[in-house]
Formats: sequence, C-alpha cells, structure tokens
Amino acid sequence: MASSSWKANKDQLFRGDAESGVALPTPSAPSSIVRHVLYLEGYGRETPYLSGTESREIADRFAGADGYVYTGRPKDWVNLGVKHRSRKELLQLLRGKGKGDAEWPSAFEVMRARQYVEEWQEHLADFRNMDDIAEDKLRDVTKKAYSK
Amino acid sequence: MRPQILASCANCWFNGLQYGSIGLSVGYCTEHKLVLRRSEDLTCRRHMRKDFLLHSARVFQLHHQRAFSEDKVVVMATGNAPGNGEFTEESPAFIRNDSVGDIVADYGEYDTKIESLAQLRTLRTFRSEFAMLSLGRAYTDRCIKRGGSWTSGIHLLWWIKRRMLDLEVYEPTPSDFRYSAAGSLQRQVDLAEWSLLMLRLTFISDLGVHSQGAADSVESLQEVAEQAALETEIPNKRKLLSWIKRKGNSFLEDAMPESRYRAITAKLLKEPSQTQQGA
Repeated sequence: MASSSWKANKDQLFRGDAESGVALPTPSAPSSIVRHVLYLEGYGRETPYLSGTESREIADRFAGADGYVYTGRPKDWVNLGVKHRSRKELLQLLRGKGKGDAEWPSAFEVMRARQYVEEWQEHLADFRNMDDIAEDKLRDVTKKAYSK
Repeated sequence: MRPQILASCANCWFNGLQYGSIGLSVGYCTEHKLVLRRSEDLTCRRHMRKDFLLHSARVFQLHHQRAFSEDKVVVMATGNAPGNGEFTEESPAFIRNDSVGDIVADYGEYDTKIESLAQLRTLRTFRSEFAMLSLGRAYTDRCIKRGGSWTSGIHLLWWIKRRMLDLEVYEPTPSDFRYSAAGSLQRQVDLAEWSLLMLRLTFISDLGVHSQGAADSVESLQEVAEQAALETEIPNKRKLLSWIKRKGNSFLEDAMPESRYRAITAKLLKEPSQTQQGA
C-alpha cells in the first residue's frame, strides 16, 4: 500500500504492463493529462506519458494475470531526459476544469481523472522532450525508465 | 500501468456488481449472462464505460468497437473467447450467495427489469445502490434505443430524488471493497461515498440527455453532474453533499416536482408502452 511519505529522491514507482515489455510512448501524441489518465480513444491510442504507481498492489492489478510489474526510479529519469510528473503535481493541476497540461473542457472528466490519480497513487513519466529521437533510442530510454 | 482496465467488464455499466475498488471479487454481465471471474481482463463490443457521462461513454464505445467488433466476451490481451472457467462462469450460483448478486443474476430473466431495479432499491445498501444506478443507466439507454421514452427512467429518477432530498447516503462496509486503493483507508472510503453520490447525478444527467426534444422533457437536468463537478472542484463527499443540499436538490425540484411526477405517471398508466419498450 502506498503512503503519503513517498519521496521522489529515494522511492521507486511500479508499473504493471505486458510481460513482453513496457509500452512505447509516443512523444508527439496529444499532451493532455486528462486524456491520458482517462484512456480516451481506448485501445491503440498513443500517449507521450507512461503511468506508474506508488503501490505494488495497484501495479499488480494493472499488470493482470499475464503481465509483469516493472520498477522505475524517478530520481534517475532526469539523466535519461524523462520528466517526472509527480502525484502531487497532478493533483494540483486536476481541479475544476484543470490547469496547464490538465486543462480540459469537462470538469466532470477532470474530477474523474483526479479520482484515479488519487486511488491509483499515480505518477507520470513524461517523454515529450524526446520528439526528435530515433525509435530504438526511445525504446532504450523507456526500458531504463521502467526495468525488470 | 495498462489502462485497458478502464475498457474492461469491470468498468462497464452492464456489470452491476463492481465499480472501481468497490464490489464483489467477481462481476456479472447482464448482457451475456456470465459471472466474470477476471472482469478486468475481459471486454466485448457492447462495453459502456460507467465512469463517464453519456456522451463520452458513447464516443468511447465507438473507438472500442474498432478493436473489439465481435458480439461476444473476449480476453482483451488475446482477443480470444475466455474458454474454460478461468475467466468466466456460466452458472450464477456463486453470486446468489450475495443479496445484491442474487437480484442481479435475475435481471432480465423472469420479471421485468424495472422490477429487479425496484428490488435493488429496497435493499438500501451501499452496493445495492451502485447496482441499481449502474443497471438503471443501461436500462434507460436501452429503452431509448428501442424507441421508448425517457420516462422509462422516471421512477428511478423519483427514487433518487427522494434519497437526495433526505440526504440518504449509504456507507460501505469492509466487505464492500475488492482491493485497497488511495493513500489511506479513510480516503478510499470518502472517494467511494463520493462516487455513489456522483453516480446518482450521472443517472440524472443521462435522463436529461435522453429527454431532449421530448414532450414533458427534463432537459434541464443534463448538466447536473458537470455543474456539480465544476462547482465542487475536487472529489470530496462533504463538498458534494453540501452542493446537493444547496443547488442539486433545487434543480431536481424545479424539473420534477411531485405534482409533475404524479401527472406523468398517471399518463403512463394509460399508455404503458411509453415506459419500457422491451428493455
């Protein structure tokens, strides 16, 4: 179970994903945090973010029976060029009709996204700065951000 | 995290037994008549997200149907039928050991669906209300699709209105949760209670949308959930209850005073086909 004492400079995040590897982000995809958290457009949608959670139990649930739980250390992400968007930051953005990258036309959907960030103890790895790097390099960075 | 969980049977309005971290360890699909042992791994083309307002749920369904086009329950990861009993179970015997599960298992089987919803109403528990609201949304939407009227949901609207006027809120028990979520148990409980109140407002908003352009419309209700979210800003039970007391109940009273409810239901008794339309 996650706790409010989680610290970016020492603690890790968990990500439930396919056993074959972590999903590849698309840096140029729409940057809306609400769109990302709510999984709008569904199966096959592209996103510049990878979600992770403070809670191993939640990650297990997202991994499903055939998946795998990967671990990531946000303090190492800076050197990879990946930006850490903390739960605290997300909660600050997800109010009313949202602020910054969480601005959204529907307050109901912003609120729903906020609920999920809270319940899932969610953080994001932001890959938007990697718009111009080759796919194999992006794959390498992704693997380093969340590893087995 | 793989967000496909939001496109799974666990988050579909035809499954009245689960809602996020709330509910039984297994779900039940009232469309395919299946006990869902691993609801978060399953989906089908009829999937309707119960965490969304009606318009967004419909848009999501269109996207979803591009990937899942066959009218059968499948394992999301493979697209294959669930096969042996690992994912689903045909017999509802197990869920009948639960009072909500017992009613849900009979939904659409013997009596009318509104009768099942009425039974859920009388249980007056945290999970029975989730089931009533979730299946109630499915019920009214189906009635509209089959040419019926928004008034198919008028009794549900009235029941919900009564509960909102009385500020009747059910509290969850420890066995109402499927897993731990949020940073503390206290916050998980608060979010769960907020979810129930917001689901009431979501049902009301649905009915407002369904009634657009109809005679005796309650169109003014379609913005209720959005308005509540805008004015309360964050998911918080206390803030939402306060909003319902200050504003939400006035919206309801203006749209459906008792005199109007009685007049519409009296009319429906004379023309019963307007109520259900084979839902």
